[in-house]
Amino acid sequence: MSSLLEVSNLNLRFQLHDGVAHILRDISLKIERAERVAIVGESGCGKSLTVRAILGLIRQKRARLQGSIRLEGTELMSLKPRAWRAVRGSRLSMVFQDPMTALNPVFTIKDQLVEVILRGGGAGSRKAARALARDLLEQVAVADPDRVLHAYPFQLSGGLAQRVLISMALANRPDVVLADEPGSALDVTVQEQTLQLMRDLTNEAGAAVLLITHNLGVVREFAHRVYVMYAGTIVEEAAVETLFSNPIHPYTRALLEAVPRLSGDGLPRPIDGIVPDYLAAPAGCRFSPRCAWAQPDCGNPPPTIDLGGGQRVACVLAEAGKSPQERTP
Amino acid sequence: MPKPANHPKNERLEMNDSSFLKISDLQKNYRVGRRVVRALDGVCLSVNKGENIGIVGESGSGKTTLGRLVLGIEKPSAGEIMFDGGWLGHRRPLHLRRRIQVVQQNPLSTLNPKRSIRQAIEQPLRVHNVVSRCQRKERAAELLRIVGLAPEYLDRYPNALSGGQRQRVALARALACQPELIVLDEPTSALDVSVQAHILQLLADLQSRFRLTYLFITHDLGVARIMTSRIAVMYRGRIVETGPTPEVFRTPRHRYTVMLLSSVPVVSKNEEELRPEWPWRRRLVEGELKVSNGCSFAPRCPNALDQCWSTVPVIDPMGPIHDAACLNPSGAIAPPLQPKPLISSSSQQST
Repeated sequence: MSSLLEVSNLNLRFQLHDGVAHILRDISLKIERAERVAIVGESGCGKSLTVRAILGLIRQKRARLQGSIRLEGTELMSLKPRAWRAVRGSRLSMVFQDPMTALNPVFTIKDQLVEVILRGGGAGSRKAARALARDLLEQVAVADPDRVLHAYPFQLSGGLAQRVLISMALANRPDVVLADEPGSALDVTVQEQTLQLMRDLTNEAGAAVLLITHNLGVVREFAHRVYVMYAGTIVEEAAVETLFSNPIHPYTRALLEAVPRLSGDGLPRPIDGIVPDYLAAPAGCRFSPRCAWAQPDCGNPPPTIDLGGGQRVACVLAEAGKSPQERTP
Repeated sequence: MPKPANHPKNERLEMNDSSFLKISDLQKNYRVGRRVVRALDGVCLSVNKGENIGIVGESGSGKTTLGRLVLGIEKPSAGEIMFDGGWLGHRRPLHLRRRIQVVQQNPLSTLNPKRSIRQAIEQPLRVHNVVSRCQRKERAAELLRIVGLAPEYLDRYPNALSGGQRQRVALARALACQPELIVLDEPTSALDVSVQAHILQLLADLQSRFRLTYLFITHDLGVARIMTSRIAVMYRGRIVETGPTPEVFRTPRHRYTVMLLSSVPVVSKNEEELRPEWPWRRRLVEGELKVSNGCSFAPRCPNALDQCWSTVPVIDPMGPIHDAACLNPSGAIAPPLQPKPLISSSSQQST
């Protein structure tokens, strides 16, 4: 049985002036129907590029993308641009991070929503599309859809604009909604409401979500399953409960320890060192130069160890069936 | 000359006359077209020397405006600021400006891209004449060392630095004139968590090393929890709750504080237990908000009483040094009256 969306061994290289930057290295991930999956990582780890690749938005001359992206078994990588366009927006859709820049400032919300609906072929006539646009806004719990329909983006608050974006993403009943830090440009109270709404609506519509975020707290509250990314590689994959109760990869553990806690348990612990330069990324484990448990084996690409229960870790330490904690000198 | 303070409604905050920074009934209005926006509406706050006070609230709550008024970047519409026993006006002599410095959110936009790190750090040394001309170079290198950067960085430009390094430079620049009070306006919001942890540690080290007083403005409650000893929660231009940080987090009294705390995404079970319950609603209410003549939070508050819509709550003692401006505070001994529905189709103003 094939997964709804399956990415395997995705590699992305950019030809730059001073060499080849190997950005994404062997990214493999899966999303099942109606599943909420998160990719978490810090800025520059490649999480946004992964999503852009899935959407077929990496088309630069200097980019070389290899691997496979399958939607219900259909290979997307070999699609022609026109065929891609049919997938994008209707079967795969996107919610962007900053609602204010994602909406076109010179068109009303109605214009933009209707265009999305007509493009997706969800409504026959312009009139039907207009009615559908109103329904969509009601669905995202906008209190006065008529005012919002006739408003320009600048007339909306961030929270409302974010809801408009969500309604656009859901307009053509997509199979997978890709969401890039929705609400993180907004206040925490609005972000919380946005995430709850995304969770409820995708549940009701039976759509799967791939959420990318740098906020571990958001992951814990939103997702079923999570991939942790570091420097263009996936270092750990687990069910959310497992990841937070039993993180194995040294990077996952370090990331968790760097989060300031609401319980006020002392200062967070920083991660020493810096993210590697993609032009000269380590051949083996990309985290090894910063890892307290690094050993000679880490110079080779780390094996992906299946620990059972859906937890997979790309670390030689996991091979011995031990967590770094148990190996602390 | 110090002006006599006379603000009857906030006597409690005025009691402590030894406070290092004392803000009394500060107001700031902005004219937007024909409307007047009250960015700050009667803010009172005292800060002791060496204290690290957190200012939290959502965007538009006035926390940055408060920082700007303390820095003297803007002129208050009313109210006054006392600093170390003296009156702090809008136009300040050089020696006062030296003592209050700022670190802002985005170090890329606060560092001049055309100036080397050396120039950025030496400018305050020159302006405030902190060290003699020949010692400047040496002092700049020392400042970089203090913030954990090698002296080699002196001749680089901001674009060659990472976000964390830039924020270290911004800190070195603020420290250059040996300030006593630093306004930290979201100093780590633009950084990744692993880098943020470095800067937070550095900020904590510097504070104890140089006996600094921090006015720590942040929207991140986790950061506020670990960094500050006392906290002021702002909503729509007012301070709605102040108190020792652990106490406010454990027993928030103002309903807005409760809402804010309950919306923080957390990473562990024991933090989850600290988060209060909040009746989240799917509808975004802002479009249909009624205007409240009383508490500005009343339209969003599920526990608003009739009088909340008509009476502006004053800040009341809730504990030894814990105050909140709420007529129906959370955790009150008396059970709250029948909660009022948030969305009311018809007017339900108090009768």
